[in-house]
Amino acid sequence: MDLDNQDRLRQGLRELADQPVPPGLADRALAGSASLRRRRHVLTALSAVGVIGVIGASVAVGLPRLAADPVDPAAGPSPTPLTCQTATNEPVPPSGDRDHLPAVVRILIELLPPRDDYYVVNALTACVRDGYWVYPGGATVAAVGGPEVDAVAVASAHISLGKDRTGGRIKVNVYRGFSGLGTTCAGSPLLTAGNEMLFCEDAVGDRPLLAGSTYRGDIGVVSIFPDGRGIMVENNAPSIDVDLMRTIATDPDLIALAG
Amino acid sequence: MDERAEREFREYVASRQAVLFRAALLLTGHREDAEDLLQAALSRLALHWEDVAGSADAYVRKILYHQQVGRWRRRGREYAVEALPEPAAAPDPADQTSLRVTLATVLRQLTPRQRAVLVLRFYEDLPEAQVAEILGCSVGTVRSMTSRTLARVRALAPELVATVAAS
Repeated sequence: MDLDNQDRLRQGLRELADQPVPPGLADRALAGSASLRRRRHVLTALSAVGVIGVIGASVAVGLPRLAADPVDPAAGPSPTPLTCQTATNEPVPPSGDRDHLPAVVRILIELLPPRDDYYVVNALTACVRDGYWVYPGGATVAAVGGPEVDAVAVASAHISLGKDRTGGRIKVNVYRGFSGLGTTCAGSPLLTAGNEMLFCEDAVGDRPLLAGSTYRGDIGVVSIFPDGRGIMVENNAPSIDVDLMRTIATDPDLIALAG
Repeated sequence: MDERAEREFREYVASRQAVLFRAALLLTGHREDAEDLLQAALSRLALHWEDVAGSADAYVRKILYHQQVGRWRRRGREYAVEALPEPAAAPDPADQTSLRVTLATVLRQLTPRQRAVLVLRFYEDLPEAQVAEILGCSVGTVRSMTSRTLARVRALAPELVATVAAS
């Protein structure tokens, strides 16, 4: 890339970032610092009696670090061609015609508790074109049939409950190429991250490994199927419980989006 | 924090929030995540304000960039496939929109560390030495990361070079 194009790259970045600043940053930062200060006092008190190390060692787990191990293309099912779709900032019709929304949104909404104020913050479904998975807009994700060198998300949905996330939000990513993480909890890289583990169940037969953890008030549930496909669900909406997140993470229609 | 320190902190945020938020937006690829990231960084800045007020920019930048790269390490690669940044309020000519969408797509496919280098070098226009200080690595590493990142941008979106060259 020559200097001229680097200047244009600068210009492109400036245009991309040219968005209004959210209000109230200073107020929220000051409130956040007060919370940090309180947490620090609690941690100091706990460490004084030697509890932290024990807790940290016994429950340290988190959402996955994706492995770079190649996926055996023969191991997973062939990807199904799908329509490349994307959506940003639009309400989900409470019922009726949702065909304009990406498949991942349509499937997810059917699984969620009924309400009439779901909003798509953003969502996309990749599709197969000329032998490649591509994102809407044409960027190549991975070659069909592999080799896939890392996990790639072929569908993603970020849904707000109520406008401006008044009821929380849920994010769902559907992946291919998860297999480097393994399908048993023992020795899994899932156990090396720093979040608090809620549960972890080994894959059995066609059932995926299923793990849940919490992080900064969010709950994360991840499934890893034996063929390397997987779903990650992240949620902070009180009306969506862990059982429902497990259902979402193992939903056959959602996982089918990964081929 | 006493009244004077709080007033100074608020003045600092008011004067720097635009550039910091926009850097966070490019780092995360999404408005909500950018808001979360910046708020977390500013909260930590507020906590240590009295000690670092004189070098607040350097302090908050370090938190911002380290937190984003660390967050990615902790939580997996989902940020590499986050959705497009929400569009700006005012409509743009088609070619500019196309450039933005292409760039957003490219950014999604970079690692957070590559994104960080791109944002620091080409959005914030910081010299290599300062980038090295923020990322906690050598100038040589910054140089090689920059080179590799630009090569990746070129490989991911050759049309980006063509598009911008035509505009």
